Amino acid sequence: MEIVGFPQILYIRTCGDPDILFVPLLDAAREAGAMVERLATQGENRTNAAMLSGMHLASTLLKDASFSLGAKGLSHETAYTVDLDTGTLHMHAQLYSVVSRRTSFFKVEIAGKISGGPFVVRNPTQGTVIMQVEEDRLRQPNFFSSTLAQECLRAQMEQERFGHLDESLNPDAHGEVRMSVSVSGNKVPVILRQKEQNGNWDIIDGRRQEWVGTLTSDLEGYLKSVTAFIQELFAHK
Amino acid sequence: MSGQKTDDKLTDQSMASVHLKERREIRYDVSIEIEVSGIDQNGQAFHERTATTDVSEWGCGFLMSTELKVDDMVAVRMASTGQESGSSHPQCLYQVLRVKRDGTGWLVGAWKMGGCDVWGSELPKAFKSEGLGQEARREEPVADEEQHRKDSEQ
Repeated sequence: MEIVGFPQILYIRTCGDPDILFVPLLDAAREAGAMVERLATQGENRTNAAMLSGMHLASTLLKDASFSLGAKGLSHETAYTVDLDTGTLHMHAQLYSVVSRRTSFFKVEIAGKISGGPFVVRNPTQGTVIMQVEEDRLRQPNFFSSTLAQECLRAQMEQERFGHLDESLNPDAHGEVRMSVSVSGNKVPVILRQKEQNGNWDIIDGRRQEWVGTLTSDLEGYLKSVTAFIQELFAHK
Repeated sequence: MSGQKTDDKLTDQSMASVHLKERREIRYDVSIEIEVSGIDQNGQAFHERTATTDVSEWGCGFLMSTELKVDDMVAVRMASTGQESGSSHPQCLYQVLRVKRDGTGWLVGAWKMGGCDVWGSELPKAFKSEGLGQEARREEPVADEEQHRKDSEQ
């Protein structure tokens, strides 16, 4: 665990797992964040207040014998970064999910404000947002190893499905457009499908393959323009 | 101090996290005015001006009126003389390794956490004065664990 501005990291050998450590660290960082605000209101320079509070946070954690000080520079499977100056907590971890005795590993980044509010879960390799999660869900037992790991698996499967469009196109559809739409921080796969020529374009929720609506004629006009542009592009290719 | 370093010395990163048994540095009984900052046992910030009792490149001892505990972190900088601004001296973080009651105060032994140079030209001055037999008295290197044992025996 790194406290920004601190010359060493705090290392924990036994229980760095986010299901065990994330919430206690968030609570400890929140206390330190409150101390920054209190010291600043008492006239302490803010940068200095953040440094003093960071020192206090490190001292508090060191009272737990599981923590020790270590040199920076080595990469660890799970790492936490507390920045008291900007008031943010950042974590990267490796999660895994087992389905049909097959294990999938996922690297995730989680970042959010120490003072409160939702945390964003990202895929650090692709830079995509997997989900946005409220703190009360993060506090649920085994959230990281079960709920989040399953969500990562679903995101990976979607990614793979989108990567093999030709195999998954509906043979009965006259036209089909697949897209990913960000809804409240979650990436939702959406399919626009035209069953017959000059027919309506259905909007399908790609997660459950459910019909959710129909494009209005105005919007169909835009889609026709995009389609015509691509048809011409391919014709001249 | 960079001029004093030799290739067989441990790197800054290693020195910052070296095991207490391995820490054997020459300490000098030199009094340097310092300002120690931290958070006290009541969660209040303190900035206490004091002086060192001994100094080495990576460690120092000083007397405090504020009670500190082992593993507390403190920021140490050389005190400004009044003719210069306080911010001109770098502030370095130290981990408290030893605390011993001394009269009405506390004698604290601390170990630097990074390669920051807190003493500037003061430590080379101590080296020089050692040669002249003035001010600073050179002590044989003692590992922190041994020092801790000696303190407990007293």
